[in-house]
Amino acid sequence: MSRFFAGGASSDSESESSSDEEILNSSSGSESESESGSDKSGSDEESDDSMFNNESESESESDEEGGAAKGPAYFLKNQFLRGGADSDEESDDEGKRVVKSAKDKLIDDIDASIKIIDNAKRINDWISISSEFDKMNKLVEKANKQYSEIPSQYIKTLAGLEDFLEEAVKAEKSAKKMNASNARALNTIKQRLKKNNRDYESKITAYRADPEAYEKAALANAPISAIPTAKRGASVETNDDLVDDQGFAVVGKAGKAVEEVDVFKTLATIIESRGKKNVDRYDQIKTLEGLITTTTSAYEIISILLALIPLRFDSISSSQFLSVESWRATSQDVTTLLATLEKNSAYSVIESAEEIDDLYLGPKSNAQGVKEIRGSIASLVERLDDELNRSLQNIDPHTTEYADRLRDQVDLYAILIRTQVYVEKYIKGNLYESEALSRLLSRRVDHIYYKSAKLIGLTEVKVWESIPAELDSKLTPRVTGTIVEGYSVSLLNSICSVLYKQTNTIYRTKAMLSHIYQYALNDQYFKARDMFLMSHLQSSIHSAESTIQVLYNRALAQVGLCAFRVGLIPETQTILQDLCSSSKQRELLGQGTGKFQQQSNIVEKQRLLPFHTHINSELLECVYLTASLLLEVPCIATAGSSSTDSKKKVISKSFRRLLENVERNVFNGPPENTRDHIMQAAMALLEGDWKAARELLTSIKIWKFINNPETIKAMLGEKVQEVALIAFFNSDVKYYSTISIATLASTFELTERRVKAIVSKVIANEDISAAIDEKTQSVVVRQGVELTKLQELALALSDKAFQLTERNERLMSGGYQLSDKPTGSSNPNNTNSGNNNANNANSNNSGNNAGNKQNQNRKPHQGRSNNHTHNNNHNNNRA
Amino acid sequence: MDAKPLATKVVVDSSVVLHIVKHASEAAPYQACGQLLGLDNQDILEVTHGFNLPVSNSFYDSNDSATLRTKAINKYIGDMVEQLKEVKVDANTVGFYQCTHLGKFINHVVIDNLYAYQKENPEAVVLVYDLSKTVYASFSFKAYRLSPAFIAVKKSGKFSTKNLVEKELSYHDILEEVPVEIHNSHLVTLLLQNLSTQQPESSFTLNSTFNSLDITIDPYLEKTMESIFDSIDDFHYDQGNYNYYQRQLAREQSKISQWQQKRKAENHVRQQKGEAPLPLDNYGKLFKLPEEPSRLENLLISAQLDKYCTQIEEFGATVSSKLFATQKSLEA
Repeated sequence: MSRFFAGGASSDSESESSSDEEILNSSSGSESESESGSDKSGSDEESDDSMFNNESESESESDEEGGAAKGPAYFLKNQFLRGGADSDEESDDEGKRVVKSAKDKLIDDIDASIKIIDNAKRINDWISISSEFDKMNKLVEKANKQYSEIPSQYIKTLAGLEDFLEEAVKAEKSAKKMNASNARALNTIKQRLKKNNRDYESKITAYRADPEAYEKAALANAPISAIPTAKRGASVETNDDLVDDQGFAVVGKAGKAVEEVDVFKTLATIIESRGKKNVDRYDQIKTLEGLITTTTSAYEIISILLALIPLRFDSISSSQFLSVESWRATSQDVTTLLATLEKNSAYSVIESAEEIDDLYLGPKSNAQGVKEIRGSIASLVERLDDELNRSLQNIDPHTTEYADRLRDQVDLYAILIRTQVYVEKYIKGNLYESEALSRLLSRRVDHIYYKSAKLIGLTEVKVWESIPAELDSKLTPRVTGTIVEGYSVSLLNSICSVLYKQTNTIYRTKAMLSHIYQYALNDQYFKARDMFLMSHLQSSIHSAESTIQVLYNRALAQVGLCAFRVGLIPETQTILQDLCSSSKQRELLGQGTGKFQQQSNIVEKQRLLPFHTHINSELLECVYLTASLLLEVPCIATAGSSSTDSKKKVISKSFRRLLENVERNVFNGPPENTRDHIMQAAMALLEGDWKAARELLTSIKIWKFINNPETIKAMLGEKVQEVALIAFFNSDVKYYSTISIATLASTFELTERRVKAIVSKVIANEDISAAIDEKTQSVVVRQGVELTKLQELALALSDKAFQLTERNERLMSGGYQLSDKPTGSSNPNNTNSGNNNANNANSNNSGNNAGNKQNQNRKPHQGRSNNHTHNNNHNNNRA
Repeated sequence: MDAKPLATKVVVDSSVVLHIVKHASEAAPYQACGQLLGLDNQDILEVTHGFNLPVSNSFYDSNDSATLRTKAINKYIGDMVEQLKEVKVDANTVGFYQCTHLGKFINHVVIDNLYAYQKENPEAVVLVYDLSKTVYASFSFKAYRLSPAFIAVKKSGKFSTKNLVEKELSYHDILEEVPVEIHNSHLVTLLLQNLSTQQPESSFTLNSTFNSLDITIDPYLEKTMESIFDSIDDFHYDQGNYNYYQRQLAREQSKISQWQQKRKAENHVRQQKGEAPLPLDNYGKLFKLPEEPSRLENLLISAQLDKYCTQIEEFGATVSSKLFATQKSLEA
């Protein structure tokens, strides 16, 4: 049926669907007799109109269609046409059936092409002329081979085309108004025609000399073929007329039985052609779209949709993404599919169903009376999700287009939930045993894990509103009205509880990381951290897929941010250390490709996350630097006061580097960006000006992107005060003998209790040697307890000596065993070398670690001397 | 060179000592060195004269052990000795002197140089004058000679473990110390006697200095320890090399043993067939064993470390007695 319709349609809309026709024609190389017969009969019947009239009409028509190639009008027209042609065929077929030879059919095809060329000539459409010309040549060649004759009309067309071409070239030279593709087509046809006409030169000249005589002669040869040529076009017009009158009526009543068969026939062809080249998928999509509106039976709709949706996905190449319209159409289709399935519980789409042998009969009912159709809604939904993701990746996130596109997410989410409900319905036994369900749930988690609790709640309510009221999920019950606090976490809990039971580790890992992310987002730091640690992911993550690794990094970053929000500065610093000091931070978070690989491949780009899921990297940096600042300042203060290097431990290298840069500047202007603010705050804090530091830190603009910026700022202010106090203690306290706690409290605007706590902590850490005198409420500093340089050196030496012993032991263990030396006596040189080291073990009894520095100094020496004496003894014994 | 050195004592003329001290303090911070002339008189090596050697600045920076024996210096020595001969000085080379800081003198340059001298004259010694030690602790003037064991190993050219074991050479025995005696000419003795009798009442006499009562111990220990750090680092480096060699060796050995296993199995089959077995020990052609790195460096660093440690020990002995004395006087 489809071929037939398509044939009709194309003859109607020559200008733009010529390629369609070509494909269809080539795919149906050996068209059945009956088909062409009916074609023929149709044209025979309605050939009253004069050719002249007909041509002018078709011209205007093709013009108008060229304008609206893809619009709904075009679609409708096709629709009608199909119906019309259909009825036409039926009535005709019943009446007379003219049997025609293959030769006649061939000639008919050639005539059709000529007709198209003629039409295209009128509107200067060189593209269709070119394609039609190629087709015609092929057909003529075939005719020449099989029947060794060249149709006269072909020669006529060639001659006509030649003339027309000359004119066109002239016209083009005088006024260049042709568009590029048309001009290109013109050029190709010019060359081809020249080449082609050489073969038929004699005949063309004969025709030129006396066209009528030639034609007559030819007519005598082929009496039938010439006449229909003239009439061919007329049939098209009348087809259109027919449509207007009775297009729908026929389908409604008479078509029913036949129609159904045809639906499946079309379906079968389309399904067969899947994955093949040179298939026009748009055309197929249109066909199927048309089919849907004509059918009412659930089975048909389901089958068509199951074919249509993948077809839509196939219609784009792998590097592109679905356009907004086709995505919406697809999502509409999926919704329809779900709605149909929900309504018709007699059918179900299940992955495990058997392949249907006969599309016409449909699947057999199973024990429960449910007819199972093979297919996977989950996969379709997944694909839909992927497409949305890809389009989000490709749209510039700073446009309104992006925001508009984001709205589609809600639709998608609704589909996800609906599919989930549907899949749940068919699960026997435990929920977690279904792979399809876990795939859906995993997608659902992907959609919500990065959102705030409020947003999740709102989305859920909105989505459930759009879902029919009778549906509900066992796993994630319907929500309405207001959202209780902690809903998002409990939602994720229930979803993840299923995913955790999956045997496939990817689901579990993803669920775990998303879960952690959500916890961290909700400021539940300890829960997130505990989950992170219990998952033991850090030991295996390096071998995971890159998407999982990105998710891992994201979760890590979020936990770091969470720690900061909760006020756990050292934790923040340690968690973010690796991520923030890396130069590839953007890549690690899946938020961008490397700077220096401009030509990064497509695969890499596809891995990137869409913009709305990004973690604000500037905020991340700001948090990291602030945390580093609060930890580093006391350290730097300590290091600055003591004379030796021993205490200089660096917490954050990147922070130190930045600070050094700032210190090197001759003049520091007022802070501009986040980094400037933090660095100047650090400088102020090192000078003891904690108020300026607090001012600088809290004036950073980026804090507004964090939840509750005011509490964060207050927390920061407090931390700055504390850090200032610690820094003061570390660097300057040795100049005091006693300080009253009250003074400290007033200087740093802290409560006395807090001051005491901090001072006690510093004393307990042995950063300074002091004591708190409870009686006078003051800190008493002990003087002169610093180690002398000699003492420090002695300590360092003891370290070195220890290291030496270890190295010696390692050297010893590296030696090979004497007993199984493979070289034997032939190479005593090597055996001895092993021997030397084997003895080192006994000797390194790294003796008494007494405080006496002389002992310490002796240690390496003794160790070594023992080595050698032992060594010698041993070797002597052996000798 | 094969002849064993007879001299068991080095007698240095006081003028030579003074010359060395002067040269050392003038050349500081470069480490001066020079030629020693004298006589070997039975079991006594008499050093009667010394002269400076021009020392290039790069002397201690470069590891080139031939620096001291470059053509220019050799020519300089030759000319110098010729001219000294003309003024009737003992023109017999008996070694060289080397100034140093805190006992840092056991290195390639000195050892190679000494080896060269001893090759020409088995009696040759190196006189080591330690400038820093003299300042911080006490006058340090010592004579050393390479031990016969070291010379034997050096002669064989291979500082492999096997060689060291066979020749019974450890870092203790690289150098032998020879007792030094300073000899004053009669005229000098007379002058000294004269000087002390001329100024009997002065609080400052040649014999009485308070230097030895100095109890500033820290700088000396600190410097020595820093030197120890350097040596330990060098030692680590050398050890790393040896570690590498060991790993290479083990890898080759395992390859060889695999090959031998295979060969044995092959031989077993051949034996059953009645063919002659293939040799088991011609793996040398197939596998190349890595070369053992020279142990000389290790020996020298060990000796140097040993030297430092002894130095601290000696220093500790003298200093602690001083400290006790000080404590007593403070208590009193």
